[in-house]
Amino acid sequence: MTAGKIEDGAGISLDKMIQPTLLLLIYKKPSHGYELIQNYNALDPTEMVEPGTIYRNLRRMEKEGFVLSKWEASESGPARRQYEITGKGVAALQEAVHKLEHQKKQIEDFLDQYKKLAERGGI
Amino acid sequence: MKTDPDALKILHAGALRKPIKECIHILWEKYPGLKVELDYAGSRACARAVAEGKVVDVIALADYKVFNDILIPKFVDTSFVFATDQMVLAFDEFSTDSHKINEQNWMDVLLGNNSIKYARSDHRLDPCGYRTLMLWQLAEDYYRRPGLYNLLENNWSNLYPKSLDLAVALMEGKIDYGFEYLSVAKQMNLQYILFPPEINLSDPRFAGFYARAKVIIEGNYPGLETEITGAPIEFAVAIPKNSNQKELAQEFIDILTGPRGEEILEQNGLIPC
Repeated sequence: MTAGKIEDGAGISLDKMIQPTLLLLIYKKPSHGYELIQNYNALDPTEMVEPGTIYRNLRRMEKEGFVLSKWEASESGPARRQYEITGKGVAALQEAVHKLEHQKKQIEDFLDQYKKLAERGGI
Repeated sequence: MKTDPDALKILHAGALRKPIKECIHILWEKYPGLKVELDYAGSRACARAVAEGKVVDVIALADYKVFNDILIPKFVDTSFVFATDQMVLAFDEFSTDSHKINEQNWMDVLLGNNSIKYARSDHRLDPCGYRTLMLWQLAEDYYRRPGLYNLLENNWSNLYPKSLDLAVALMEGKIDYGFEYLSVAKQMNLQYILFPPEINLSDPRFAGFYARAKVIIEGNYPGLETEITGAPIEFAVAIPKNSNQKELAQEFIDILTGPRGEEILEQNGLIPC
């Protein structure tokens, strides 16, 4: 497998960082959607992602094989679908990191060029 | 009603009527001719029926807390959360003042015109009813409108046993506005106003804020009151201990919570989870 690439071509979506963030949270600790929504907010309080979007991305990632779900009963509450990361999910997370590092470099280069231009009084 | 001992018996919250029916059609692909008996009511009314001896194979309710409060552990071992929803204010194009109501002024429109009829479902029978009361309590805080809860609670025109009845009453023109689930409003092609996530009971991030809302309802035994605390909306399903068709019931639940069921729930305005 090429570093940061998923073998069958299915790629992780970087849209609003939702899938990488969810994979990172699940990698740290298998969790159910309710808990992930709460922890997602703690990770980035400025990004208000609707619960429906989180649940849809979890299902999408399960279809892609990045996560697996199973029913997990709690002592006092109901059973909820708990997600854990798969080997393919870890590879997808690595792919996301690779892409994000590339994007970060692009942004830094852009900002660098802008600052230099601004310093010269061009803007 | 006389029941068939071989039929799969499903008792469900009224709000789940359409998705449950669609999931039965998938079960019929495998078991053509299988007899299915469907019954529905407000979720608390459903749970009480089972607690009073009604035999069913699947029970699907609009609030997992109803299982905890009435059915677990005596009648049900565990419930399974399978969908979420949110509260909205539903209406149609013939509702009085529908042209001027919006997300900011809804309370002023409802309370400012004596001819407007707005309704909620009965909190003693239906989670949509106590969720409406919670929404009103939270709205009082959120919009900083002291007294709003009492004004809204003292001025509704009609009380219905379940959320589905509100939607039907709206379609029949008996009321102008109903505090309803988004899924039911979508299923019945009603117009609706969305509330902010801080008060619409949809978002686990606001679970702490929702918990400020409390509603007292009749408890499991006469004279015993139960306090229900605000929480994100979660629909749950279970197989009662006295089911005669546990394997078939499990197959139905597997459909409801599997990929095809999720598609059906989504099409019906619910969020599978």
